[in-house]
Amino acid sequence: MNNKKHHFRNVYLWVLVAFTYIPIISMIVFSFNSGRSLTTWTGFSFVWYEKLFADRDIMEAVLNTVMVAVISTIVSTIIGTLGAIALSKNKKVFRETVMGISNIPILSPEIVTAIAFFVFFGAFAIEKGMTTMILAHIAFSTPYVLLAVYPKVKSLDKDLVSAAYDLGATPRQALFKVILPQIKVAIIAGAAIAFTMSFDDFVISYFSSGTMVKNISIYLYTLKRGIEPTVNALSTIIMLIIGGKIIYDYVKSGKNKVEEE
Amino acid sequence: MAKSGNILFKNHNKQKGKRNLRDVLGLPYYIVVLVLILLPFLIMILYAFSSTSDGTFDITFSLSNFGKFFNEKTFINTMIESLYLAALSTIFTLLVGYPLAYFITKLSRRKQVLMIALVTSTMWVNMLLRANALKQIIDMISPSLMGSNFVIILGNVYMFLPFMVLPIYTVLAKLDVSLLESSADLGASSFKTMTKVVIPLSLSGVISGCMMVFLPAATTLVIPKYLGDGKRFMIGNLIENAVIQKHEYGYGAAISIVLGLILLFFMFLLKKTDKYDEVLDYEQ
Amino acid sequence: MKKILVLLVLLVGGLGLVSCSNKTKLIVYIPNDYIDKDLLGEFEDLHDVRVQILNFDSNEVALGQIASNSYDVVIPSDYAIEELASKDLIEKIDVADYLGEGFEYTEGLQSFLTALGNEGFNFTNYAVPYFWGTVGVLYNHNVNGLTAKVKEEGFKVIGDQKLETIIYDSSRDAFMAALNVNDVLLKNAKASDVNTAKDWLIAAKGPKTSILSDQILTDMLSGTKYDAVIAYSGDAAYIMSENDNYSFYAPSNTNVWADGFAIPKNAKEKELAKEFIKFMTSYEQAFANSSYVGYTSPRKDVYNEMIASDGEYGDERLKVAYEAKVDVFQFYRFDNELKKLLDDAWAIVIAS
Repeated sequence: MNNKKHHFRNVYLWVLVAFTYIPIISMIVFSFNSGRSLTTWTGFSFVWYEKLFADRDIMEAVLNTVMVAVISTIVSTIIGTLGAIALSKNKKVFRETVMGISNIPILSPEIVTAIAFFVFFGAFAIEKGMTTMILAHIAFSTPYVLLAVYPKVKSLDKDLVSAAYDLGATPRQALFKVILPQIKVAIIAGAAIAFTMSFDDFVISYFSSGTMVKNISIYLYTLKRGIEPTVNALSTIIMLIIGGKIIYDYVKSGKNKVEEE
Repeated sequence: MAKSGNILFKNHNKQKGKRNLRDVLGLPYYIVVLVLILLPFLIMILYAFSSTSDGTFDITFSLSNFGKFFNEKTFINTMIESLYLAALSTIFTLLVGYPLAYFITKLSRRKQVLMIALVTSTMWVNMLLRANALKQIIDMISPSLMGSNFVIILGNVYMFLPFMVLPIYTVLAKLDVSLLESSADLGASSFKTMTKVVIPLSLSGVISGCMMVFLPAATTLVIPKYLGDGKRFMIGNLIENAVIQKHEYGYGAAISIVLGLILLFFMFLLKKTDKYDEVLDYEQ
Repeated sequence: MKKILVLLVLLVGGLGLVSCSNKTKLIVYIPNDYIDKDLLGEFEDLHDVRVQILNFDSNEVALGQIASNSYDVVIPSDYAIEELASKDLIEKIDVADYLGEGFEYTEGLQSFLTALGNEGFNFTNYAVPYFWGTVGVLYNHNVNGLTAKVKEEGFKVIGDQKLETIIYDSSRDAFMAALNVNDVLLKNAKASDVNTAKDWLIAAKGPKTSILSDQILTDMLSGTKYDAVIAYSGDAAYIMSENDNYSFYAPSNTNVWADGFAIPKNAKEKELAKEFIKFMTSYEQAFANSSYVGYTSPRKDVYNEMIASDGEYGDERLKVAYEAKVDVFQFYRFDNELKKLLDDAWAIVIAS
């Protein structure tokens, strides 16, 4: 009986892994297709990879995506971390209100948040473009950083901080030498979430910058002249990077950090 | 006496210094929350309830934007259809994802890590790339399926499965094994253990997972576009059309608010079913 | 921790430097994928500048943006140019300045310009023609009796529930076709006409009908998935050059349109913009552009070369689309109220 159970379980697991990865593997395979088709194989070739790097639109989209992601991650991580530290000592009412408002983008469907930004930028006639996209990304990333960092800040040993002060530390030294190192792990987790959310974002980016500034997602969505295997080539490269990161994590640490989403 | 008084005084000043620094530290965050989160949402509500359509700032209270939406039967149908498909998708994702999470917990520690990484790593791949990949596969296997309800639901399940598996797995992994053992000791069959012990205790994970699937599935723009074959038009597309093509800010805001409230209501209902409500932060 | 921060700052700085450069930048505002990018590279090398392409999805979006942002060259459609001119947002031009030696307008385009001029708007006072064409039915000529049906019924075939059809995802074009079925011109359409057209579209939009725009440029390049679609003549020409199964027909009284280069009054690089337009409209570049994009060139010499028997679009099937010949046609004028009517009706059509 146990063997049958194990058998069923393993089959189930493998079927689902296949389900998840078959489209992705197909995409990778066809990025090496010599013809333009995405469904019929005509031979092996690197031509789409060459075309990828020569395509000014795609490269610009990639550049935009990375720039926005890096800038918004840095800014939102700093602001979110400092905010978490500040909030942890505030009165409960104030803290709960602020955190409540801060959670609105997290709890709302993305499109509602996107419309809110769209209308906001429109109302103040702010020119849609790189700036609005970065602002929007900061706006939705910061709450996630807070969510990642705050629990750690809350659980800090207060006595350590007091001890630091008693030993003559300035508030600045206390911050940099005592508090931040202890919550370092949570900060990195928060930054990782912020980066991922920004890099992959579509809906909010689309509404907050329209087609003025295209990130990878907007580029794909507004692609006119057909999805050529150049897109597959781009996907393959991205997936190699992600795959590399996963393998790196898996090898580096035996245990997995269960990241908060 | 004087000495201790001096020390107390010094500490008090330090306290004030700390507090001032703390508030200053928090300032950028408060500004972001106020200006970039609260303000946009307030303005969106303002626009929804005003009579203006384009970007101008006209503050006259009016429900015309809501009327425009509710008066047209086709729009209501679109919303209902979107919610219906999203609900079905959520159910199927649950049916597929719960056993997946459960089976993973039965594996060895190392294998668990690997399996979870495999299943959830796709979350990091751009949503549009994944939708496109799925589209390519379906075009290869059975092109006539494109645009059908089946494909839309399949797309939703495919895209959002990791979001369902992760919270359920996290809760199941924390389940106290001794509870299962005691249940068996008390004479319960494995089926009964499942239904009376495991499932109720994992309910909070199930609810998180359902919320994280239902919300995006109801509002997605990407899935109708790639898998819809030009035949599917959902509530997300309606909002998109209103705002980007027609520049009807107020109208788009109104639809968004209606949609948001309805989804909030569903989330509220879902949360109510969890009798073992633990305060674990899983949202998104 | 500090090391990572320094690295990141360097990365962002590096990226920033890469994207900006000291060269003069020419900003061109144009619909998606509507220009041969190699030509941009040529122009950049010729004048040692950088050309930045910004896209717009629809003329309406462009109208909104041109006033508030500063572009150097914009390429909107006829009715949008009319609107920009009426709002005094674009420069008046002497088109002779731009057209080089030996430039003659293609006949079809000339009829269009004359007719539009007679009705009150002189296109070439404000813009240099870019591409032009018609809207028609792209259909699978292998389907039994379809060729005859299309020639007889025009856009009405789109409503045939037995056929796999596509209605173009544009309120204006979809309604032009729908009104055409009832012999109503867009400019004469009253609210009741729009309503009838709306009902026709809803009925036409059966389970075998898709609403797509640019996707046809991928989906139709091979195979015969669709039987009859509403398409621009340029897209049709491109698709037919890749797919043998299709032919094109422009029904009587269909829309003839023209897009043009215009220089906004708030442009920063007006001289450079002028150079760009002159560059793009010269023979070699116009030829390359028309060849890549597939739309009909305004230049008579390029046009003749393309439809010559050994030309790229010389094949009889392709010629029909590239020629963009219609005896009786209509053009779009700027009309805000009509537009609102159409948009609202269209929103209902696509949702139903």
